[in-house]
Amino acid sequence: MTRRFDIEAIMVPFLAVISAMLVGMVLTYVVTGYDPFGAYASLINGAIGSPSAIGATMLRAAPITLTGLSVMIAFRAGLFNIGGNGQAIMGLLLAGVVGVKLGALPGASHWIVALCGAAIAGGLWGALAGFLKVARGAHEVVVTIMLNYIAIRFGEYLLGLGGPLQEKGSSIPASTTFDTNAQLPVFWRPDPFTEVHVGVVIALAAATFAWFLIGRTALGFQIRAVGLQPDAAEYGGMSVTRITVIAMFIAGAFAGLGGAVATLGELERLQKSELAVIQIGFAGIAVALLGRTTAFGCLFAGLLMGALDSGAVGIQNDNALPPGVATKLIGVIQGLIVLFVGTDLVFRRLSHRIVGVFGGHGAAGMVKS
Amino acid sequence: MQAPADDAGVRADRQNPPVDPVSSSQPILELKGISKAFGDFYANKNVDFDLRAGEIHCLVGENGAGKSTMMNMLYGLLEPTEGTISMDGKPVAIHGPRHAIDLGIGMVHQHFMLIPVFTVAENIVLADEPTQGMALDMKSGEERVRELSDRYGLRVDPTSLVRDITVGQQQRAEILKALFRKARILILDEPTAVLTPQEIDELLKVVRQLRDEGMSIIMITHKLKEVLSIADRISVLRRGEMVGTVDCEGQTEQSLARMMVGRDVLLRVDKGESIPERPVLQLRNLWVKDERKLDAVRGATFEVHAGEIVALAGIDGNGQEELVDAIAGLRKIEQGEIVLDGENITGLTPHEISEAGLGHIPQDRLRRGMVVDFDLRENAMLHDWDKPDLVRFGIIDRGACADRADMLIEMYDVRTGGGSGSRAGSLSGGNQQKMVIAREIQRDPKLLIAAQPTRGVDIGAIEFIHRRLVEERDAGTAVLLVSLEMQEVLSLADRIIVIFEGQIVAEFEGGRVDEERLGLAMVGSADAAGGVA
Repeated sequence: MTRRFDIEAIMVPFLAVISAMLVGMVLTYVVTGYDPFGAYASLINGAIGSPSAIGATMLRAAPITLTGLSVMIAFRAGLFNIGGNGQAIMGLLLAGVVGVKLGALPGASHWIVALCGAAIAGGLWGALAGFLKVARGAHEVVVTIMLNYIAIRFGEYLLGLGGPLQEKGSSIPASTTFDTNAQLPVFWRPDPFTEVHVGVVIALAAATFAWFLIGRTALGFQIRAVGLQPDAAEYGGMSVTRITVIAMFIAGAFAGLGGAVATLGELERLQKSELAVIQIGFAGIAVALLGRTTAFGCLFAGLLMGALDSGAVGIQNDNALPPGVATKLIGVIQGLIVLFVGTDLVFRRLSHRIVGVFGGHGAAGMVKS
Repeated sequence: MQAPADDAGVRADRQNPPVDPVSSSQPILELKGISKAFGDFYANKNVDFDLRAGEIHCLVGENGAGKSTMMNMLYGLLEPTEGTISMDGKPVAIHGPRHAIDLGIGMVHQHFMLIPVFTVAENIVLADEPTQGMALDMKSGEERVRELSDRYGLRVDPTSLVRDITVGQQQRAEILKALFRKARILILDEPTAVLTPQEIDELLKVVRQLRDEGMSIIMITHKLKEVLSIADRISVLRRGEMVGTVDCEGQTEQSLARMMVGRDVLLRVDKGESIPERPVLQLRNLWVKDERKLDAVRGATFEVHAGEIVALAGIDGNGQEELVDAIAGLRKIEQGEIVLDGENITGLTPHEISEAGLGHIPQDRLRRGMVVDFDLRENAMLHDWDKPDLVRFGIIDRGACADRADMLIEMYDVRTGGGSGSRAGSLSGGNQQKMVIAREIQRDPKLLIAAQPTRGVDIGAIEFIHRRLVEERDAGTAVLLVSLEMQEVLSLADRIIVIFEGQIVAEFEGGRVDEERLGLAMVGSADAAGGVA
């Protein structure tokens, strides 16, 4: 239960980030010819240079931290949840329904109910993939990808012209605006345009909850056992079937929350056109990978990715790079980070395999015998 | 067997002609004053060792004695803290497995390093593939594998997929891999642990033949009988230090065992008469299928009483594994019923059966018995994630878990690198097994199933485990021992039942059957079958 402090676990993501930033810097100069130092100064300024920059970073970090936790929990149970997007969409749809249809809920209870509903909707969507895996042997990667599309199409039906959620009499495929009580309360306004809402607190709480769940509870214990060694878990009297479904429910719930936080915190209404461009589920995969599939790792990775996003805005605002290049550059850096973290795993597995081919034990773990 | 040109430089030193075993007095490999420290802990301390050309040199020692550490240094996986390794009289630093191979050292690990979906030949030529231009030339690869396999009597079909062949054949493929890379020194790490008795005989024959062809062989093993039958010389390690190297001539199991543990060892189990009481396990006409959906257990009926050790004897693969899995709820029961202390447990979940009073030491501790990446505290609570003394309101009481693990470690003398916080996978095999046994016995089961409890375990630990099993029996537990070792069955069992092709074919009273009759029953011979001695 107590893990030794593993310097490598922190070093690898750190090095990946540094290398990606350096490569990005070189690319900026070689490709655009602009001053990379100026661009990076704007990036850092836009990410953490002022209270409003910090607020923007936190706002961008919240949803992807939640979807990162989603990928993390599933991964710990030995499952690869590609379905964060679909689960997030189901979550935000339900949050939207609560937000526009249940106008009568008093005060804070409205957004709390909306978020709980989102968690349950996302959770059920995730659990469905878990259920299909244990009942039918359908691989969760394939199933969750398909469920992503189903969720998008379902949302497009709800919000499309004449759909049950579309505003009556309007020609725009969108819902009516959310009830003010359903929108996430703002607790910090560093400037008039930056409204930091409770979604940030929810992400922080979710990471703490996930850490506690995985490391300290009997359920987390079972999830880890099932993920590491299903045969041993079964021998230990755990139901691999049950744990798989539960883990996918929890994973889906985190993603659903992520979807709802992004929606009720940032938007005024649900729009059909938004559904297909939601990417927070996929961003969650990058976050979980960079965070080494630990709860607080996801929190830091989410913050970092959020900082890069708001840094892109900083570059644009300062005109440090031509319009359109900033977001592309940030995309490249984020991609490189994932690539470097990923190739590290590949490298390690590769070296393991090379040693294996020549007949080696995992030497590092051998203390005795 | 020509080497590609670009690699010729590396290969030159591998193509030294085999040293003539008679004229050479200089050891082909020598370790002088080798130490390996992990922090304060010395896995090897000031070890001297030499291997002569063309000898079989057995390395014996308890689990945790430092044998694998020593071999890992030879194979370049670990670097010695002190001391020198010399080959042919010249000091060498071995940088890694690839380098070790280039130097002519081949190693066959206890757990094979083969890719299941590749053919035997593909596995063997891997990383050294024969090519024609850019293309892989598997035909000539297969040809060369076949040549080697014929020459050394290592029978295995080069075109079979590794996953389709037996463990014994996989091992032969591993040996062929070393031969293919022109090893002059072959290290075999517990090669017989995974083999059936017939396969063991065959392996020993092959090893002798390799020696006669000039190969120098280091063999690590726990089984003293094998050591005595095959070794030219024997080296004994104890707690990281070399106790001594002796000629095999004139040694006995007792003398070797004494060197290994530093005191006299009981090779026969000291136990009193059993006093069987009520039946605790009752199987009635049990049918179970294996992975291939074939009947593996066919109508097994027997009982195990409180206070007796019943051994289920049989050659590997005759349905023992499926039978044990079915009792533990890990495998579906097609027909029949199982009663545990009066309660019908047929079709219950593993959790319910374990609650009903089953303790189970599984055959495969690395797959089932423990989560290798969990620490010992977590492994100590593997069954008990819902017990109120460890988990309250779903939250694990970490102090209580640590206390339990510490207690098990203390009581069963489990040697760890870092106490109960050690990763299970970092323990040696014998200590892992002690931990599993400790956990299962401490749960105070009514029925204890011990499936090959001493497999891959050193002699000191075997004695300890046997004593514990007898103590459990004397405390009124029903013990079902599943073992492939005839010696273990004969020395421990109060009653022996023999399983052959899924059926119970014979039953003997312990102590009143000899090896020969038991052996005949195990191979399904009609002469022995049905006879209650």
